[in-house]
Amino acid sequence: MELYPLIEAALKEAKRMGATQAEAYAVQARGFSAYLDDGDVKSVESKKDSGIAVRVISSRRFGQSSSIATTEEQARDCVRAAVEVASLLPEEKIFTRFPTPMKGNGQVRSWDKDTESAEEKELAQVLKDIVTEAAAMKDVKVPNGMVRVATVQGRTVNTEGVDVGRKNTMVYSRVTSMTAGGRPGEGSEMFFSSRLKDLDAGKIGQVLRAKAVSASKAVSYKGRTNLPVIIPPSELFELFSGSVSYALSAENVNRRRSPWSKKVGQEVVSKLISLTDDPYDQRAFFPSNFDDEGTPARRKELVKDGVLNGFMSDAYNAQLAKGEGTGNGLRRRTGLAWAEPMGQYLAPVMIAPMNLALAPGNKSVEGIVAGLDRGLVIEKFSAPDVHPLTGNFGLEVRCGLLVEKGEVVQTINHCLVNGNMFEALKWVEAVANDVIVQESYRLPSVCFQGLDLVGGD
Amino acid sequence: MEDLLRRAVGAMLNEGAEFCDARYQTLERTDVLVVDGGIRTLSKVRNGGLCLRARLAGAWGYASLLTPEPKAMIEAARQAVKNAKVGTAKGPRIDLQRSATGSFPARVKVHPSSVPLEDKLALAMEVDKGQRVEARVVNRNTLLGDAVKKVWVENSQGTSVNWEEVRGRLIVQTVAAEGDRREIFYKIIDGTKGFEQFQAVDPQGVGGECASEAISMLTAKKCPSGYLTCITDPSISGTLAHEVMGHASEADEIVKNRSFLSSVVGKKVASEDITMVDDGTVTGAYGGIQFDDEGTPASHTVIIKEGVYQGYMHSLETAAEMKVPPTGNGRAQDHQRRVFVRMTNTYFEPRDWTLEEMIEDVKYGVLAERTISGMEDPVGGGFEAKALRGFLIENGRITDMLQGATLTGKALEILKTTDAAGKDLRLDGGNCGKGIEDFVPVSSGGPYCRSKMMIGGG
Repeated sequence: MELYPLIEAALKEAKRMGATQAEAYAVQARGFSAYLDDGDVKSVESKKDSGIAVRVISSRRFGQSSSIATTEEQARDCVRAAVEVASLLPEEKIFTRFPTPMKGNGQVRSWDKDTESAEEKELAQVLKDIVTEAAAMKDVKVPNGMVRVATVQGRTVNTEGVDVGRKNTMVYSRVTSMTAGGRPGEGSEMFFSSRLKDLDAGKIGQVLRAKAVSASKAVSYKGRTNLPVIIPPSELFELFSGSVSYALSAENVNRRRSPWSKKVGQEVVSKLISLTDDPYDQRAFFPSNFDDEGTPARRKELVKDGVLNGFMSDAYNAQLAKGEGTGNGLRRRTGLAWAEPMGQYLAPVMIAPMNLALAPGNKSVEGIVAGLDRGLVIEKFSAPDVHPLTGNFGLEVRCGLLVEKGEVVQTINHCLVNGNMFEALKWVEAVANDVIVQESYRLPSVCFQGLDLVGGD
Repeated sequence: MEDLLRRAVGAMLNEGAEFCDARYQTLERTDVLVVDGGIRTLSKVRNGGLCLRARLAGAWGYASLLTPEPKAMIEAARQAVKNAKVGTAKGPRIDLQRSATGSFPARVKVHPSSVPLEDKLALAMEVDKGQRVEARVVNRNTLLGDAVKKVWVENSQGTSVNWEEVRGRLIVQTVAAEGDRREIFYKIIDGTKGFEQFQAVDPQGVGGECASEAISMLTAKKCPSGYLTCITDPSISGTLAHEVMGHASEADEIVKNRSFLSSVVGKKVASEDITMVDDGTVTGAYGGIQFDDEGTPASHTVIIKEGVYQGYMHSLETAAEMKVPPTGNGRAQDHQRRVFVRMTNTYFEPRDWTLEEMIEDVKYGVLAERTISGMEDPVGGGFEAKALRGFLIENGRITDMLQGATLTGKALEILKTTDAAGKDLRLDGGNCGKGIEDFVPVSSGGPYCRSKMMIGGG
């Protein structure tokens, strides 16, 4: 079954049932995953998926539904559920029209032929190569790991004339390492790309080995101090997701939840911070020309030299604020999972960055460390999350490197880094140049001035 | 359905599977989201499909498809066995000691499918109305959701079982603001009961209570940092039970020696006040199940008894590897996901203290309330939980409300310092991801517990 028959069946049924406007978003996906267990390939999966999400406006009422759909009848069933939902609701005052066709500037290609034709055996080999490199040192092993490759095709068609499609390949890997002994150290590494050839198994294995060995040397930090803290992109992207992306969401602005609600044109963060949502960057995890509502996914300078320029919006929030959508209405991020190709039609449209990029500085992390009198370089937090409303955080350090006079002097754990993300972003010492892609973020390490480090007494 | 699944099992055996199962499931979900008096989302979602799983030596092959159409199913059966052959893991054969059979509907009084959507909408709107207590409430959110899951499992050793799971959640979140200060408070009612669990609540009362607490937090002070006496409320006690002791007691981590609890059976690991269990049979709890996704009946598994470590949670595979009975903990997120060892309802059992008695003895400490998030650490045994708010305790009295903070420490050291556990048990539901994916509904909890640990807030 192709996408168009599902979509056409849905739109025809919506018209038959009296809907004045309708939108059908159909997705098909196929993919493989391979999982490691204690250095061996434990399981291999093959998956296929097909589904549809339908939104209708009927008698000025709005309804939506989503469903697996492999047949035209299932697509029609989904429409009938959406129309039933609409019939129960009061007249919709805010969302009165679906997006109209707009020409975008994007020419990005997010599909890779070699990745699409990858087979299960190749994934298993990738994992074996990671294990071989990570376990090259005695007493280091790889207890858990996975790699996933998928091809996702989606198309959004509405009765206002929008008809846009996408075809993405995606590669996601997450692997952990650990050392043997009574006080094992643990490392982890994630990889996101649209191309399998970008995955360097040997390099991932080396990093995993180094991280596990480093963590095994950690000792409990005692005392308390205030010092510069360098946070790497692997931890920073989650901190940004819970604070910066939250503050930049038009939904949170319109609902008065964003701390940056009335601050367009004001300096909200350090001059060293410039943030651009760049869906056209070929290196992004999901480079895209359109969002999942069919709005062109524009390149947006959201923060320039510390000054807030604007927010990310979907069609609903654009109409609520009487403005324009920015092409950030997404269904493809399926709830809690970061890199799940299956079920990309199940979630309602939500505002999210396509590829939020922090402009890099010109120094390496080593160069920044060399200039520190005292500092802490984070390798791993337990769970790098932030209270999105207040920006407060207290982050348990699983592995950190204490720096004195430009040199690493000790590896520490069992302590907290405390601060407030919105305040910390105002006091940035330096932005490094070690940019990597982590989910829908493209970030370098950032050195924050003056965070509290608290350990046991 | 059973006949179709048996054909799939037969096809996998013919292809050379040593053990295999076929699992078909459907999920129907309804969600109502009311924001600031308007219906932001009312949606119906249908998901489901077939998962075929074959085991060869110690490796698994999976293949999934959306509809159990016979021809595609046979092809998927071949693919599952082919995938298993790609694996390199070794392990003992799975020999079921008993197989389950039968059909088991959900044990609910008011099935959500029998409740008109209008009634669900009306309830959510009433909760929203209750949150409108004053102007400092700037944002009101009410999510009312229910899900009906049906599962059929057939395996190569005689299991032939199907059952139904019903879950519901009412989540209320109120944002209050004054000047630049913003705070949020939440209340959740959840469980595997039917709609009766929501009919029993006063919707405006629940909304009003949530809003009043959000406003009260506008004056909360910064939490002190350091190694302090902390009284954890049931949700944070449960986070310690689930994230650290629970994940480290999942036998798939034990068999590969990736747990700090790998060789502690029979040893004293906590104070005598601590008894901890995982129990999928708790009636009405959010993590409750009749069977796990391998068709094994849920069970009551004692992990720690009066401070002494007892044993682990198992799937069919880990039970075979450790030569013990399975405990009904082999779970999968959905038909697209693998089965591995997961928790159900994990909690510390209550003792005999009142909260007032626990506070009276504290010279300087914090009463921490309501988990926002927690993180597992089966390797290192580290505990981390983020609390929504706290209360400062000085000389046996609560003196101030505190902003959110993070609690952390080595779990076994914390449990050895536990000197009081309350007499009331509460379980809170949530979705547990293991390795940041594969989310399954669980609950965790315990009584109020008093221990020493590190605390710090931003």
